[in-house]
Amino acid sequence: MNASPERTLMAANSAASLAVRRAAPQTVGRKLIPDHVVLSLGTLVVFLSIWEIATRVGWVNSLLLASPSAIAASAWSLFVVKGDIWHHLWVSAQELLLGFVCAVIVGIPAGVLMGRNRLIRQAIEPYVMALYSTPQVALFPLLILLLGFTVQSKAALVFLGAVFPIVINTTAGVIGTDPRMLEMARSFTATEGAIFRKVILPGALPTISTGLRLAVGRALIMVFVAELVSSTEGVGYVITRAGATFDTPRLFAGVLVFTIVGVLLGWGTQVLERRLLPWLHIRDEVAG
Amino acid sequence: MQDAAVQIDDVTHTFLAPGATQPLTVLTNVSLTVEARTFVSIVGPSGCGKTTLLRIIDGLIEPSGGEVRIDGQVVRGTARGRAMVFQDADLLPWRTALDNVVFGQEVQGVPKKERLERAQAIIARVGLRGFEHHYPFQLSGGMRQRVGLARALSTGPRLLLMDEPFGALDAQTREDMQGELLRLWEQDKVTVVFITHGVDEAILLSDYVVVLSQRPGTVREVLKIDLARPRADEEDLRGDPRFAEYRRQINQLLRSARETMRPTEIGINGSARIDGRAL
Repeated sequence: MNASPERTLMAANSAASLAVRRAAPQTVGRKLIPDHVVLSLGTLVVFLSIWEIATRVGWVNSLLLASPSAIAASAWSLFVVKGDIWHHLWVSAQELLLGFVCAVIVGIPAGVLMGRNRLIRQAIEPYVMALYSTPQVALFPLLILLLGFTVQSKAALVFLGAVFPIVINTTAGVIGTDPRMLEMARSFTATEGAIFRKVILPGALPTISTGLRLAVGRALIMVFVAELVSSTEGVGYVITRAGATFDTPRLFAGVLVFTIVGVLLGWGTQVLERRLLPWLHIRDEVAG
Repeated sequence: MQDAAVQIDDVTHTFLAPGATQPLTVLTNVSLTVEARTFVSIVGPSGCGKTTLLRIIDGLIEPSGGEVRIDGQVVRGTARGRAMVFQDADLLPWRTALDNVVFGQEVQGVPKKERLERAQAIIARVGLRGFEHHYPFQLSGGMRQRVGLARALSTGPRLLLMDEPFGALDAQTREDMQGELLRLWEQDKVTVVFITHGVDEAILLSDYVVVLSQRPGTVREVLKIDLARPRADEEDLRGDPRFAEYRRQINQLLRSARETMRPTEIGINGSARIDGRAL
């Protein structure tokens, strides 16, 4: 969960990359653009070129698979010329934020309660697991009945998608507190409150953070699904509508918006984690 | 600084381990008096309840029978004035060395400025200068133990409880740490109860060495270690014929302790006192 692509790569070639890294400072120094960026961009360029050629030559039906240049033109129109994506993006962002913030506000305290109190855990855990295993999308028709075709009903679906990974990971993080640390704190006469704030919570943060990152991914999926099923606004609606009208360049441009938002959110949470849990990342670097 | 004398009075401890059907008696009829400002080591076969005894003294565990008094006050739960140094240092991994050192004072409500000043002074004394901002995983075993020791000392304890603090260190680091502990102790002379597996370590550091029997642990013997202090020069000390004699005695006691004890013997050897004096 923690591993970024480059870290995974390093782990896979640990022996080789260790030797390279050791030699690197003397021979190369710091490059303007790192090798792995050049490589991954190269892949993209090759892939897009083949795609472009395939559509122009007519190997594929450009009505079904729009060419990259057509997608770019459509994206340009969406963002700049007509600029109509901003309204939809704002609607989707509202649904995402409302649902996600509620999931955090409910999920973390619920996880803490379940982690700290065995009775509460035993009373609730089976149902949390059952709901987690249910495709929450199945509940969307009910949410529409309850809340109508509103931002709220979509936010509620986002909430359902995001809350379970948060609850489950928070519970696991709290339960996983090292009993030796609890004993140490008690020996220094720490109060229950201090033990919670200074030992249990910080110890659970890495696990909670993993839960939040899982939740972000699921929340994005829920936004799209909700707009796909019932909406007249939002990025998901833009994509659905483009599909219905055979406007594949616009469809792809819409998907691209989701990709960019997803990457940005993933990157944002990683930056936030580095800020808040510096010890975790320094430790990873020490461990190689 | 007030003195701290420890009186252990007929302490027995039995508990039901998770998953076990039979309750396990780890300590039986342990009576022991530790004078204030003495350094006492407790040695004994593995599993004889040394660590349990230390936790009972700290108030982390309530004994099933008997009681512990510190300066006449019966121990009920943990309290300020005593501090523990743990076997694996038990540092919080998300805190730097400095922040770990202040932890004890922090939870005891010492104002921030004061606790930092005290922590910095102790950090200098235990040889942690320059490592204040390192995280535990960036420190060697010896350094981690220094942090654990500094954390305990910075709360200003009158009674220092040490649970095999050097057990996991390599021989060289261990010797260094023993030397530093001696040096620190000569300055403060707080009461120390020190659990160890090392017979040499116990003799080197202590005024008294308490030998426990095999489980259920009870006091087999208390030896007064009559070697001059300060014991800075360890080499001299190890060459001392009395050192060899103490070592021979303790090893013999430990050997006989390892042989299975009959239940009737427990009562006979059940109690002992440090020194002839009753406190």
